[in-house]
Amino acid sequence: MTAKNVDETSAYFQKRLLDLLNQIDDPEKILFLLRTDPSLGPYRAYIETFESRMVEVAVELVRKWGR
Amino acid sequence: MKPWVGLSLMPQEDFRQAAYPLFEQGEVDVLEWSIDMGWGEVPIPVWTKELLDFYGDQRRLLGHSIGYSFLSAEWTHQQQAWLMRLADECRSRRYRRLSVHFGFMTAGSFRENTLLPVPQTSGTLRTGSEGLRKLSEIAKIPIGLENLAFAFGQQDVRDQGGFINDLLVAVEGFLVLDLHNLYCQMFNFRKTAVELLSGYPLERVCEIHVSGGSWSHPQSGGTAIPIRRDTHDGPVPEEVFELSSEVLKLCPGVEAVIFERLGDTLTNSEEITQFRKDYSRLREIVTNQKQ
Repeated sequence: MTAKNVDETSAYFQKRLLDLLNQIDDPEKILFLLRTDPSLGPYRAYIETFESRMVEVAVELVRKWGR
Repeated sequence: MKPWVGLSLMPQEDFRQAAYPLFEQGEVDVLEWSIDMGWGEVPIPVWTKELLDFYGDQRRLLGHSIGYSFLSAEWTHQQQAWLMRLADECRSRRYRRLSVHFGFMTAGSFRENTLLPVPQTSGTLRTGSEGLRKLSEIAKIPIGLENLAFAFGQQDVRDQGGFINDLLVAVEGFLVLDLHNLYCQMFNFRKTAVELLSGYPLERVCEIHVSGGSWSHPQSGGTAIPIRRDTHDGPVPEEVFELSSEVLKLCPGVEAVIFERLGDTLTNSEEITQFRKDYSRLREIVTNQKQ
């Protein structure tokens, strides 16, 4: 993978993560959508380490501070 | 030399009332100021400005920010504008050092957010290192990074210290070790202080942050165990005081220990009394530390 691709994946991951945390209440659904997103292949192993209770807290935080 | 002990200054009136006796008694050696707090449309109060100028003139003013989002993969006009404001800020006040937070908060349409962790990859390391270099070029003072409380899972907890070290190499920077953030990860991920601290470059620690926080009660994950959060709105937990004492022994380069409490959270006399007690206890711990 080239450096450019790595950066594009990182940008996509960050945007997708914030959007999902902002739009979806169910942490399990957020995790499912992240894990099955074909564009997030390089991040799959990292996403597998996410704990649903922390994703739930992240939803609370993004709804409070995101704008 | 013993580390200085000081406050993260807040411009709110309740904070002024709570902190005033500490200034009057000469117990505030150093101030930390979240620089972008003064960049809003509402000007900061005169008393806040006077304190910042006074401590700046004494070379006892530390800059801090959460708004830079240097680990965002996309470099935006917002970050460029932030750097321009920083240049003005550093011309108008004499900061001793400047620290920013590990993590990212802006992406896509979000211009502000909570800080979230990023995994270490060649891309995120390159992005972060470049962001810190830009910061260093503009600020022209030592640059540091603060550890983040929030983690999505064990990998974030395990890797954060090493990633921060690799980022700091780019600017020969310093570490702001936030002990309540460490405590959050200890509690939320069942880690000991020794396990967490072993991953951090303790030789780079110049500042320590101490604060209180609060609890969240998530429904998912099949457990009723709460999540500790770094909200700066409560008393300092006993565990964080104990950690302060231990960490000071491990970090000989500490120059300042900063007590953090958000403005607009000191709503009654009990909370104000607790704020002063916590500060005095922290000062006592630092003063009594054997060198």
